Amino acid sequence: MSGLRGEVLDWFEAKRVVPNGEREVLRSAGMMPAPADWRTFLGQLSLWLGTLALASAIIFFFAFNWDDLPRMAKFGLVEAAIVAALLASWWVDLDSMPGKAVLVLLSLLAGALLALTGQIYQTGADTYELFGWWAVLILPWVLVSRFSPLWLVWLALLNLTAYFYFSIGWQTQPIFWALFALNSLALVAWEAGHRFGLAWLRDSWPPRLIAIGTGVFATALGVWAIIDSHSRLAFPDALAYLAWLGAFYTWYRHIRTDLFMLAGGLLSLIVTVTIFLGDNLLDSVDESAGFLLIGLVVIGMSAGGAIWLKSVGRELAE
Amino acid sequence: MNAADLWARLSAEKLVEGERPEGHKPPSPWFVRTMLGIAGWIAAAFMLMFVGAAFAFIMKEAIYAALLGAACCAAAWALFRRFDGNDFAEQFALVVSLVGQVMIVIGIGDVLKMQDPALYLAIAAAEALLALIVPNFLHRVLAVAAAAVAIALAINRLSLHGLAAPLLCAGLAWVWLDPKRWAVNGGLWRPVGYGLVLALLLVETFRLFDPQWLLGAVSERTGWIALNGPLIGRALTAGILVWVAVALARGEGFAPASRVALAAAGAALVIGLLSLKAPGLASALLILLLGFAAGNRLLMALGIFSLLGFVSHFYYSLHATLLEKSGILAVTGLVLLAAWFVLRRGSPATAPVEPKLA
Repeated sequence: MSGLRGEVLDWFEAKRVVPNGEREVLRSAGMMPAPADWRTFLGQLSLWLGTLALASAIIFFFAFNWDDLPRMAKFGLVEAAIVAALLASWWVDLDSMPGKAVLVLLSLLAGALLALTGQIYQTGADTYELFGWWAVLILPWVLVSRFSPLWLVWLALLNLTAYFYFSIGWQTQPIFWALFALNSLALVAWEAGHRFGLAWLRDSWPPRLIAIGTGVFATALGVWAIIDSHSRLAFPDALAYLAWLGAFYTWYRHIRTDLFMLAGGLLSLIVTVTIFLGDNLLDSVDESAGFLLIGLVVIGMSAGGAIWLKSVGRELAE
Repeated sequence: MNAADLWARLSAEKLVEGERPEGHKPPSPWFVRTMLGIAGWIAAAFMLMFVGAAFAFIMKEAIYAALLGAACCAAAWALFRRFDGNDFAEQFALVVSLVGQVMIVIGIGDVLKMQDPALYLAIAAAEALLALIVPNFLHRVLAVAAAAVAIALAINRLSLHGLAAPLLCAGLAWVWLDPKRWAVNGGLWRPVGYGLVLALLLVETFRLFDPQWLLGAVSERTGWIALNGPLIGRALTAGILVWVAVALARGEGFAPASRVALAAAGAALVIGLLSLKAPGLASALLILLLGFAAGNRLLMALGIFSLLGFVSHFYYSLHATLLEKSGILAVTGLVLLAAWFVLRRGSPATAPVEPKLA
């Protein structure tokens, strides 16, 4: 919640706003949309929902695997859709919302074409190859789009590729390592792009989504190191987690302060400390005392963390 | 624009009166509250294990469990009132209250049977009472979500399957459509609104992914309402979506026959009809619309992510064949793109405009 928004809501709570003046006050504060904002919002909503619905319709159609339709007609249909989208990309400005919608449509259609190829020719390819080739083929469109949601789609495809590739061995730890490394690399690249001043990377939510990815897998490595402490990989797991936590704190506290990231790091620390205490305390002391102590530690850490985050927030606001 | 400039302007326009309130304390951002809520539940789980290990007799006797639960909730209420603004005391009070709520559920659960709707209605009443009397934002969000989920379970046990989602949607619209509620009486209604969103997403998600388990649990009863309840529920949700779209357009001063009002109602109707086959879509779009109307980015983000989730689930749903679903989606997509084209032609400016919401 922005500072202004919080203060305006305080005025409402203090009964300073005249009756029936609520909408005018909220609009003046930029907290409710004006008619022009509605038109833009509804336009973008119908554009994006329409694009997603059309792309899904084509994907669903080929997933149905209609026997009555000849194979060349199937290829013809999906390729005609790709050609139509390519023609549309010539017609619209790629920096406008319709241009970006066309690039997203093209990227989704590329996946439909690959899936259709695998369905008709029974190539025997592994699942990771589908997602890997999909990511490779759409890279030119992703590059020209300068559109963070399409980059996130691309990153999701890489995540799926890594997940299915490392799932072949039926081992969990390599999956954690691969997804941790991949998302960390993406986050570093994003922060570097942001630092170089790329305007289309200015939104705060895409790196936060990627950070959730790195945080989940870093925490999983940390937890794994604790519960499987006799394994030969426990030390590198613990080291990776601590290095991630240290780097995360340093960057988002001292270089580009971001409260969301710090709150996420804190939650990860609370989880690992809880697991650590549970693993070491419950066997060595009275069980009930151990439960009580762990509960109190979690309360202390979370409340202390909230106080610290508030002080960082005040520092940012000044 | 800073707060002082805005106050001066609003004061000149006679939209605010009296002195500008001093000593504004900015509330914690939503993600800090989320962190506190998750940590609160982790701590509460350990505290419950402590009670179970140290005082096993309490867990075995319903009356003791209910009494201890009520005592914990009363203590939490006193702590919240006495130490308002003290983070350590508030987090401790939240954990004590969560422990108390679970103990109350254990106590009631020992008296009433799992299949009895009265069990869930009693839990909902207890949670609603806590939401009303405990003056803490995070506590209210969690208590309202718990009450709403309990009501959803009671509705399922009454064999009125599928009717919980429209009920929660109506509650959401009631809170977020009118600034007199979420702004003027925001201390009470904003956390209620967030709790309802949380419960709605839980109800829709669990119902979709495992109809035999928990929130999708079905009773043994059969009959017309048991068979058609889910479809009626989806139709009611779609109706609420269209009603909200029209109400928003009127609230913004658009004439009912204006291009924007018709496009909004038409798009809502198309999504509503689609959601008859694709459960969850209308609820997600309702959250998105209400979020935009209230200038609330968190609600908008929840709406967008749940919309993507429910579209993905549509692929696996068994309501129609993939070919039928493909046809429905193609028609929906074309109608929505036509709506976009109409809106674009009517737009006074072609340059993209970012919504300026705080």
